[in-house]
Amino acid sequence: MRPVSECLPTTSVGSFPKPEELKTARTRFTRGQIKKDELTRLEKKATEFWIRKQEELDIDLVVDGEMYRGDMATYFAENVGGCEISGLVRSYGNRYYKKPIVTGPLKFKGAITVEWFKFAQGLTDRPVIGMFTGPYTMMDWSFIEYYKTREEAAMAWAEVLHEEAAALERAGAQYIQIDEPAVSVRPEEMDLAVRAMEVVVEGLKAKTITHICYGAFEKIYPKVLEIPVDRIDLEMSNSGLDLLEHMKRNPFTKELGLGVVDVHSHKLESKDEVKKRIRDVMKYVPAERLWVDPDCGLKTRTVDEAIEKMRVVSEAAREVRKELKVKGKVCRS
Amino acid sequence: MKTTVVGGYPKILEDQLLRKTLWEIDREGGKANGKLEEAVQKVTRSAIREQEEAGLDIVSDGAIRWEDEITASLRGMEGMEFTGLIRYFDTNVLYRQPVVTRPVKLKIPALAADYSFAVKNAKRPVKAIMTGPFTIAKASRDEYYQNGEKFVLAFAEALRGEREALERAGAKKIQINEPFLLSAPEEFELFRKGFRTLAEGARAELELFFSFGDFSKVFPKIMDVCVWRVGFDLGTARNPERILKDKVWKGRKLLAGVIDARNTRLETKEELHGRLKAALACVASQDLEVAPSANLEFLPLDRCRAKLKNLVKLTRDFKEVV
Repeated sequence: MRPVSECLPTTSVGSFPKPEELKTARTRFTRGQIKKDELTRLEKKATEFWIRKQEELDIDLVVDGEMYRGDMATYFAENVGGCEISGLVRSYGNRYYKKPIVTGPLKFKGAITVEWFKFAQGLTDRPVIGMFTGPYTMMDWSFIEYYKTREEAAMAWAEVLHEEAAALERAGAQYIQIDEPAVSVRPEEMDLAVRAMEVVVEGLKAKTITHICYGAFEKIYPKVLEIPVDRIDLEMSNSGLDLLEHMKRNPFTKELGLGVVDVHSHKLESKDEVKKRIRDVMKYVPAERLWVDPDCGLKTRTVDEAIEKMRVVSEAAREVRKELKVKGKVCRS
Repeated sequence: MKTTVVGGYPKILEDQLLRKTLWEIDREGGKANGKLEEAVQKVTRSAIREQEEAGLDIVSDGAIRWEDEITASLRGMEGMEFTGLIRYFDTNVLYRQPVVTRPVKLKIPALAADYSFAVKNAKRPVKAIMTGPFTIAKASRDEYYQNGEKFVLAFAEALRGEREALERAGAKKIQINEPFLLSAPEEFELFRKGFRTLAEGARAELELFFSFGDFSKVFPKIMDVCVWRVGFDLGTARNPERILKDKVWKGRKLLAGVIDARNTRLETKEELHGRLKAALACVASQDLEVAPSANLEFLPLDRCRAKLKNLVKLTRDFKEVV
């Protein structure tokens, strides 16, 4: 496997936009106009497209781009026992998702993402992240009809998702990302989020990551550092790096996935802007513990916008690495 | 006893017309504004019709134009920019945080036009809904006033302009949502000043509604602030039965959130009748309005319809029994 850069390695949070051909195919599949095989062929084609793009852009740790997922909660709920899928519910702006309804005991029915992980990893010598949505977020983003409490539901999701994590590791995943964007919504439930994650990662040897975004992060910091993962990936550009104030007071002790481009804006950041963000954060978290990536999944951008945002991530990180080399610091890329 | 709503309605009516139009506009870089207005109006008419068909006594415009609970009431104002995305309470709804960089001023009232449109298209009485100054201030960032009180009062004055415009348009009932007070009850005095400013000279019945937290944190002192109608989500309040037993309700009006708008499970007859009974222990029947606990956009459309029908049916059954 190709090693990642020793400092400021680049990566992605998860999703990329689906090419038009695939979007059309998904609609046609829903209407019964094409078969599953044809849809899968196009999902694989799109996955390969994004793997090649990430290689071209020299991204260290790559993702499969989630070409097979409709939504990060719905997809997992569709593939476990105990869930029904509701009609569309608006999440933000003009985005909607089919919110899961937990109507029975949650059950692992078999690995959900492993085949896609193996397919993507088979296309490249760069490590691919195995990824799925975490137990707290699955609980929070579902309607819970079966379980009596949020805690019961979160812990049930944790048991199921532990199976998924173990299956990904058996399939060779060296990095496993467990997305928890909802984790900051109820600061009083941070202990629950930590306990649920403990169940998911129990016994794993792979490097673990959690992605958190768009919440009142200041209310869960530094408690959030108790989440038992190696790296916490944060949306930091959207909020103008204001999290640094908190890191100044309480050092960030884990690896940090540093979001340097806003995924909800058509505007492309300049390389200088991104380099400045990286340098600003390096005052608080050393370069060897920093991973550079976009704020969140890029699926809301167009294909061209996503590529250009990833290009600026890659080029800015490379240039800052060079600056470090010149200064004789740790960096060998 | 009347049935009503406390917020928006799912926007995906009319075969997702609004969603499709917004996609088109985004793809075309902001053109096609005429199409957007047409879509908003068509979906609004549909949302009103659905509320009426469900049997509600008082309807809203469905807040079809609202992108979120914070920025919707700021559309007519100047003095701010909209920046990073922030999560609205414990939902997965995000809003762009308003950052105030100049004096907040109401340029052109924005809410009255939607209200008037709803009235024209409704057969039942319509209530107007807006977000209150305390909540808007708490959800925003102050880079101009550098003073909490001035910040809240600036929004309160601008929102008073919106309220007056709604009254000129004929609004007899205006619901003001102040959920952030339940997260910061220690700032009650600041909230009180903001509400007083907004309410100054009000002719309409103002209804203060609280959700997303424990109403007991501000009860009973909230009853001194609002002389019209006070409402809360019975599901998130700690010990709602105790709140409803308080004598302070005597002669007052209540808007009770009795249906969970954030869960798909349908309330049983026993559950709902229990809540209605508790509510009627504190206020007279003619002073009680019952509603879902929050914006109905948190539900998928089929469950939203089912919940409203359930609310109306079980309330009617209850009236008959009583």
